[in-house]
Amino acid sequence: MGLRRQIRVGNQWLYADEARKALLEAERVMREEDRHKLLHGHVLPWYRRWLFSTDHKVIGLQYGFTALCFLLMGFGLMILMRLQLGWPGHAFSIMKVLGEGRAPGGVLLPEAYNQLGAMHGTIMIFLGVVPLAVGAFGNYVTPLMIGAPDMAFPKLNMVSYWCYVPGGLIMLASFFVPGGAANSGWTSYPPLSDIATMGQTFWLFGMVFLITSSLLGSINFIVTILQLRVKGMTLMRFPFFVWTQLVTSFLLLLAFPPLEAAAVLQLMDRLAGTSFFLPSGLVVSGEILKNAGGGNPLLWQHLFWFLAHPEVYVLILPAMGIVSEIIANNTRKPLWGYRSLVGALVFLGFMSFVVWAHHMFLTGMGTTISAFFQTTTMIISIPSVIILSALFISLWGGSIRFNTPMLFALAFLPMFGIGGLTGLPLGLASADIHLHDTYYVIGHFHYVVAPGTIFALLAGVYYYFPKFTGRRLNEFWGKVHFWVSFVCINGIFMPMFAQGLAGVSRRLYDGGAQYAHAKTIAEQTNPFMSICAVGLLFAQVPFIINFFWNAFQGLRGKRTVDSNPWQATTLDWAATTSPPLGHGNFARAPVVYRGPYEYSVPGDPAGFIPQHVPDTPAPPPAVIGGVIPATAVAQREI
Amino acid sequence: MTMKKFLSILLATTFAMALACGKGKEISKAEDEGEDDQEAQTTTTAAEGGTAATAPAAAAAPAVADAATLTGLVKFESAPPKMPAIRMNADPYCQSQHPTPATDEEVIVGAAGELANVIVFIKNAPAGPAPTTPAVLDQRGCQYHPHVQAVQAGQPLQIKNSDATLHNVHAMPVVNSAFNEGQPVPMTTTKKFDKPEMTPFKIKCDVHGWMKSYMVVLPHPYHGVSGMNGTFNIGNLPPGSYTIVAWHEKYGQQEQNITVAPKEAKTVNFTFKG
Repeated sequence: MGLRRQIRVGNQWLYADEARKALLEAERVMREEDRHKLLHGHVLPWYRRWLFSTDHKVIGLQYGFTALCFLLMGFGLMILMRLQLGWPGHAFSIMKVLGEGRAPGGVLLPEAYNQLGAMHGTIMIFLGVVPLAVGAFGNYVTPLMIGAPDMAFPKLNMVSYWCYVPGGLIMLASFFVPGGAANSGWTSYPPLSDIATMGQTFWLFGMVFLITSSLLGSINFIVTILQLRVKGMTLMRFPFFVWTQLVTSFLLLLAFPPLEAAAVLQLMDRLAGTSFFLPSGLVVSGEILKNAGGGNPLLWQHLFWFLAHPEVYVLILPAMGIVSEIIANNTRKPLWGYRSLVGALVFLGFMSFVVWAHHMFLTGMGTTISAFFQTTTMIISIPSVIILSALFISLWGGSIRFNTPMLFALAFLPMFGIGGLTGLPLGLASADIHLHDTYYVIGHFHYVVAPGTIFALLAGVYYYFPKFTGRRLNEFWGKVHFWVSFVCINGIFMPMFAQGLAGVSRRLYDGGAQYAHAKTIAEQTNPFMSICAVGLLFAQVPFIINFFWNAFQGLRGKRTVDSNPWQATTLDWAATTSPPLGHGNFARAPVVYRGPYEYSVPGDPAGFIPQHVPDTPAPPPAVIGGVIPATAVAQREI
Repeated sequence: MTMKKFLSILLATTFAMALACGKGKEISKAEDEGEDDQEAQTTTTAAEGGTAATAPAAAAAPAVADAATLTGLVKFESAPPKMPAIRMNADPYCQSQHPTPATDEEVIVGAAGELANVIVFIKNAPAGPAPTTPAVLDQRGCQYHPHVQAVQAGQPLQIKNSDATLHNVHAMPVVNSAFNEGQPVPMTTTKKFDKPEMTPFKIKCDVHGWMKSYMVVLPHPYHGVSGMNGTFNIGNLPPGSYTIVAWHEKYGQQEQNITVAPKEAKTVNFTFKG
């Protein structure tokens, strides 16, 4: 008979076989308890669990689902715009969905195109990307990564989501008011927006809700990240994703209030007869506007861009965070230059507040002011380059696993690179004179946001899907999704640089067909770009099927992966697969012993050491997948 | 359910939907053709009625027993101002429609001093039901036809773009709701002004700055517009005392008080000065 080994459980020493029996018995009892709760109604009613939940995971999933729907909607608007740009004036049956008032006989009217343009931008940025990047990934992953049982203010978290939903609904409702949705561009520049149709009022109300939602969320994130870290989770042991969420939250907190103030001022201009943004003697359609006087349209531009430039980093930083996690995981190497990454990130966040007027070189601010903002713009490119370079160098020498999330993450690097580098000429006042308001600008920021941020977010969806559902998305269809999207999205945006350099203005409903200087290049490139847009639409079909099929199967409990399918080191993967909703995250608070990316450690047979695993084997195990009673969570709620 | 089964169901559903959509498309195509026919008919009507500038169209007032008829002549006493040629070179299409440059239509005076494009209407006539026959405002050769007109409140107004270029119909009423709509291709949009608006308002194109038209919205059908020969004609007017108004876009408004007897053929003349 061999030696019976003993292990220590709590403060007791047990034989291993007995401990195993005890563990099985404990699991059986817990299952019984769960069943008991379900049968006897000791659980929250369905609307508290699924609609008005205070659990960060449910709220994250709510944000994610809603934001993906909005992304699809914004994408749909883009398809309609691209059809119009590719074949201006052509009657398309699909346009009839916009109604006879906007597209009589399927021919899109110019003012309807303006609505599509303004709402595409608004929906994509404020209702799609930010809620997905911060609301969904931030909410679901951040508390898990820092070992927290939930967000610091769970009810505030719920309110945040329920400010976002009405904001989105108000935006959608605006399509049905007289004159249609907002049509003054996503930037809503006055005086045009001050005298625009009723849809603009809805836009402003919607923005007030969305901004409120972001403000509540950002406070919650900052407090959670700083206060609810588990023992051992020092700032320099944060996964880079957590750092990006922290900096993003500060940007949201500090940048959004000016826009909220500006939105209220514009509402007063439109509804109360004030003239904050209307200059004296303003002539509209050949007649002097009666209530105009003493205002300044540039005030709006300053307030708007004071938000909207940091907003660019709100879009991009969480994407960088997701990409960093995926790259470290799939190269099986620590991120190169973690400290410089964090330093660059914080510097980037700070600098993003002092570059806003580079959007306004053509407003006649004067060369001194322009020179200042040119300089800050050139300076802010340095931390961006540091982050991108560090991520590139992280690939060096790695034994890279080319799975779907990694493909999307890898594509992010050159795409964001193109987006960033094409921004430099726009940051120089002299070059901006030519390029301002041309398709070059559209190409530039779409490279940052579409094949940049959205690819990173898709990478995140593929990467975290096993954590959400217990299933991996199908690899083959994932790769089809990636490659077709990658080719098509470049087919859309690359020609925009040529168009812009040729002087084709943005916001033209016919893509420039009426302008002699733009006609030729518009005819040469627009149909091709539009075909690519339709191709991009078809590329999303396998993703949508893949997503819903596996989500549905996951909901039915058909789980196919364990809690750590990517063999990752961070704490989110130490929680159980698809942590039970509304029940907290960890059986007991884990303790962190090391940095976030201990991959391929010499002498380590497993190839990775999770953050919660101590250096020397010492009982008890820091984390046991499981649940803690709901009451324990409830005590933490405010 | 296996993935294969799921996909096959999905494929079948998509196919069924595509079939359904295909049928819908055929129907909508037929509708489109119908619309085209209607449009062609309207074009004919417009061409026939578009002679307003030369022979004023009598308002289609309901027949009244003992109705009187008003006719008149609008004269211009001063030396007619020379209207400038319109520079249409900003839009090659517009330019191509006028081998001889078109002139501004603000003041059109005939050889014997007849003033065209004056809206003449009764200020205080009894309100009548809105006709179902639409009034037409045509944009042809990058100009409005007719240049001025009176419509009745509730009467459909067909706004046509007969040009192969973008026009933007920007109506600027004060009492009624203003609108501002583009017509990127040859097409017809039907609008309606629900309330009477006795002060004529401007309708303009924001793309082509020279394009403007004026319109008055009346509660009754007793109105006319002076043609190239300066004459106007208002028929089927019930007997009574009225104030008759003549309005010109540059020379303003004149009023006369008149009394018409049953079956009277009355003549009312107006004279404008520069």
